[in-house]
Amino acid sequence: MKKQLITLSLAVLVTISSAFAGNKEGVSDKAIKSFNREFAQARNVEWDTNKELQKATFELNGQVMFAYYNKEGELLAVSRNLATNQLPIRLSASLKQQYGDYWVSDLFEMASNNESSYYITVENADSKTVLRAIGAGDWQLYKKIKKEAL
Amino acid sequence: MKQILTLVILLTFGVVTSQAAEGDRVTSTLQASLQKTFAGAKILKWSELGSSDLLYASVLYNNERMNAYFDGKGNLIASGRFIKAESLPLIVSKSLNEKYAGASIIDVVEYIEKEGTSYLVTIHSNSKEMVIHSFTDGSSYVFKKTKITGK
Repeated sequence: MKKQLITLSLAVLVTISSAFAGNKEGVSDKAIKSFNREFAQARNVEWDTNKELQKATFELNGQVMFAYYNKEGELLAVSRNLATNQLPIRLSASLKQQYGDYWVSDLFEMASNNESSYYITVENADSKTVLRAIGAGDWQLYKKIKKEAL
Repeated sequence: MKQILTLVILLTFGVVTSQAAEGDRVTSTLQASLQKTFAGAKILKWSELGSSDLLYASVLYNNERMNAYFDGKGNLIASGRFIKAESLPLIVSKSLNEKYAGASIIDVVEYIEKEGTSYLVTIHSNSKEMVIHSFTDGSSYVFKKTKITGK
């Protein structure tokens, strides 16, 4: 349950880039060692920190990725932005069935606890909806925000 | 189910042949079943799979080519498409990189059936070509292994 909560709060953090305000101070040696061990081939590594997490932004196999570490230097999750055609076809098909009239404003994959989750933000004129799918299972409603009338 | 997977893989790699399906086998139930799951899919061809009673439709869906497989009763039982290695889930690609360090990924088939989504990854490693069947939790096994012979 604790790990689940960490994953959930990470998902929120990832969607709010300002949660990491470019503070490069205080990146722990443990996190850097852990990162270098896990992602030996990584290039263009940059670190950010906030009160709870340390984030490495890097390139690996031509993709920009993000690795999140806690203060103890433990790797909590890895994420990357995706294009919709990179979604598993099952998710892509059910998205089209249920949210065919919406547009996609954000999509990322997060890997933690030996499983990948997909978070997608779809919007229409009235609302902004965040859906989550664990593995290549079904989409579940994660968050729905009604847009303010102009 | 394993038998279906085997047939699908053998078809993918050209070991099993297929022939155009007879018109009366492509029922409205089949068409409806396809459109229910893959709405808007454009059917390119219906074929019979080897000597089985399975049918499959080659379709264009989201501008990508994929195959949808049906049993004799018209139920959609599996589908598959080629995807880029970059589209593999992070857990799967990490696991493959660890188990087969230095191997080159040749192609990747995303395979979907009732039990879930899995990936058939063809790799070249140390003069061997292997088809690895990988699952979303990172587990995998070698489905097929052949030696690459020089020309």
